[in-house]
Amino acid sequence: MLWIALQAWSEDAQPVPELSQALAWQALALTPRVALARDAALMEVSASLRLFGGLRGLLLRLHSGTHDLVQPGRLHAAPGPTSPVALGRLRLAQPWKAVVRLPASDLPLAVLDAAGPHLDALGRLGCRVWGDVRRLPRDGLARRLGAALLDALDEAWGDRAESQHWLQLPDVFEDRLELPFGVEHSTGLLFALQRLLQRLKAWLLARSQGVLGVRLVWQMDARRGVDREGELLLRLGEPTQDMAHIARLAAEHLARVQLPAPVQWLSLHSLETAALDGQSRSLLPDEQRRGESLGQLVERLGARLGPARVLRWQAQASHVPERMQQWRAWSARELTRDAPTPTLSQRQKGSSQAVGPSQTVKPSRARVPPSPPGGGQGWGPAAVAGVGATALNPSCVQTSKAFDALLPTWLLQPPLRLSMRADRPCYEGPLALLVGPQRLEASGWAPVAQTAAEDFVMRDYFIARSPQAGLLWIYRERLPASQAAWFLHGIFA
Amino acid sequence: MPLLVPPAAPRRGLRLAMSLSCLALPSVWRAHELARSDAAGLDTGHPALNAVLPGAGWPQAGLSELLQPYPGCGEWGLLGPALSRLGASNRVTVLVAAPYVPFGPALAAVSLAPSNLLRVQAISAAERLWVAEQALRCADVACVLLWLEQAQSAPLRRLHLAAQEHAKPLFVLRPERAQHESSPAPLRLLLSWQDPPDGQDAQRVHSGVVPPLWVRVLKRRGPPLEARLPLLTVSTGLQALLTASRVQARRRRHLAAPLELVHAVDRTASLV
Repeated sequence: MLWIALQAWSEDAQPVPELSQALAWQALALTPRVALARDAALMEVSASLRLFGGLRGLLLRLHSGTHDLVQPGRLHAAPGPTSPVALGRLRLAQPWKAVVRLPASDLPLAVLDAAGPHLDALGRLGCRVWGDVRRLPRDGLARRLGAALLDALDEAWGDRAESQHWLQLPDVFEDRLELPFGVEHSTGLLFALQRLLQRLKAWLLARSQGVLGVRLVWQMDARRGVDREGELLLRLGEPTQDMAHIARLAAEHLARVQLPAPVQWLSLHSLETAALDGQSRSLLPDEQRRGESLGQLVERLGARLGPARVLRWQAQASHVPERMQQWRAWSARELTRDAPTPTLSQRQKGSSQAVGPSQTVKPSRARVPPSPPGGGQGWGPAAVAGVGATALNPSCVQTSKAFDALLPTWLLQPPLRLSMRADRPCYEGPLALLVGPQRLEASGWAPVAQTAAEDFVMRDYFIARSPQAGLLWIYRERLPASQAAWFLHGIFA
Repeated sequence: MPLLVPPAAPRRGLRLAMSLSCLALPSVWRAHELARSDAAGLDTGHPALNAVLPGAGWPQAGLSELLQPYPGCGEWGLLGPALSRLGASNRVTVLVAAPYVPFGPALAAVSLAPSNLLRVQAISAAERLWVAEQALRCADVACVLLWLEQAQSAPLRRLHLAAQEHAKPLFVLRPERAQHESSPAPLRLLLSWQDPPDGQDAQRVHSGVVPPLWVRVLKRRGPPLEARLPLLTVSTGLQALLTASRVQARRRRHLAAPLELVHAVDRTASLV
């Protein structure tokens, strides 16, 4: 049996028992037999020594695993054949000095938990060290001071099997921290949050999982008319162990939080975790990725600007230009899963593999008037009508692609109403109409009850040229001549 | 700068001049030549433009400025081929504060996958700069396009350094009036649809059917270039359409007035 007692020390060489739990979670990566003592973590490592290259290799690994939890030089570890001996040696340790490997009989009584209540009595008996007590008659000692002291000593000598409560990881992380002073500004919570996040990371590492959501709760001074608690929910797109990313997200959100009263307590809870996919790393330095992932970028941009301003493209089942696509908020969870496809495209799955749903579904709702002859090769209603006949024909898909190539790359939403000069539309000067008209009528087949006013589209599209602004996509509403209006709808950039 | 001088040269001055002109020292840049760069540029897809750019293409890393008289002036046609090549690795192109809505079907038709676009609507100039810098630091981003109305030189330099550090091209699109301001960008182009008033005639260059995008190189690592380059950035389908409609327009000159257009359409319809 080989026990190691672990303790984190503060800057002024005082033990920090609050960190014992996080240390114990870290130790679980090295051995399954970890227990918590009053002020330290205990691990029994005899079964894992060979795997990690002896006691030295195991301690090195422990140091490297805890370097962001405890600063180097402030983690103290003391080995011993039994857990009381290891604990006793740890409690005797001095800063910046090697641990004194005293035998059990030479350890002072003050470092034995079971001797604590009887220190005065034992002192009057002339006992200083454990060996002194051990030499006393057992039955008299048990009668006067109780059996607990004898049991503890037997465990220390290895004469009696130790009974420990082996540590098991909780399913949910919950930890709280008392702030050294009342924090009045929300950004001041970040420093305390860092410490909680380090403990969260230890918990995640031990579970080999990534966190998907955390809840940060702060408790404030009681004031009239003010809640005593405030909370911040953080949801992440992909499971992560990157605490720096969570801290940055929290900083973005906390910057907007107004604290009505000073904060005294801060606690962190894990809401959801998921197994973390292992990442294969390249041996070559060139192939190693630098920088954060796209999901992290989207989350950070969304945290500052608002998720509605970070957009991704999605095809839509319509043939009206402004409804062929939708720019919707890019929730990071969609990065791994496919975006939900429009319902119309699911009906025509056979054809939607080659092209987007916007192209295949066009015929289902488009009613195309008879094509004017010679309206331009490959342009206009003739091309669309060809698609309408058979959507599954690959040649029609080609036609549809050719049709898309004639669309402008910029779209104006809403369309810009053009001023008129001498019956000619003007945009940065009078426009010359080059190609057209391409007639567009929407919602021809939809029931009248379901057709909203804006769904009813009757337009003639033209390609026009402005001497300054290049090629433009303009349309004229097909209204009576008195209400005729021209709109700029796209720019061929 | 290491100079190789032949040890025993009879006419030393002549030899030195010859060796300087013949040696292809990578660290020596002669001002009358285009700068060579170790990394080849990103192919622009326009051979005429490649010929006048250092590295025969867009800079692979760093800031390039495109100045436009109007927002939405020819950028997709100019950058499209390079962007589609960058997006082939399934990495994302970030559009920061685009002036209009990018139209996905049309972009897909020029092999620029719209699903690889990340569009960020940032309003203030500080937000735009911040978003661009964050995007440059992301490993999954291939390229950043940033529209800026007004910009100081210092934040642009910061972005340039960030783009260089992370080896990503950054294109900043600014209004035309910014050409008189100093900029840290090593490459500045001025785009315009307007035919130049001087002797270069659009009719002669492209038979007048398809308007070319006139590109003027304001700044590059090399000798100044006065001439404007006409680039055919319009997609081939649209070129064919414009050519075809031109042929018809010759037959129907009177189509210019929009009121008569209605009759013209009806008349052609009746000709079936």
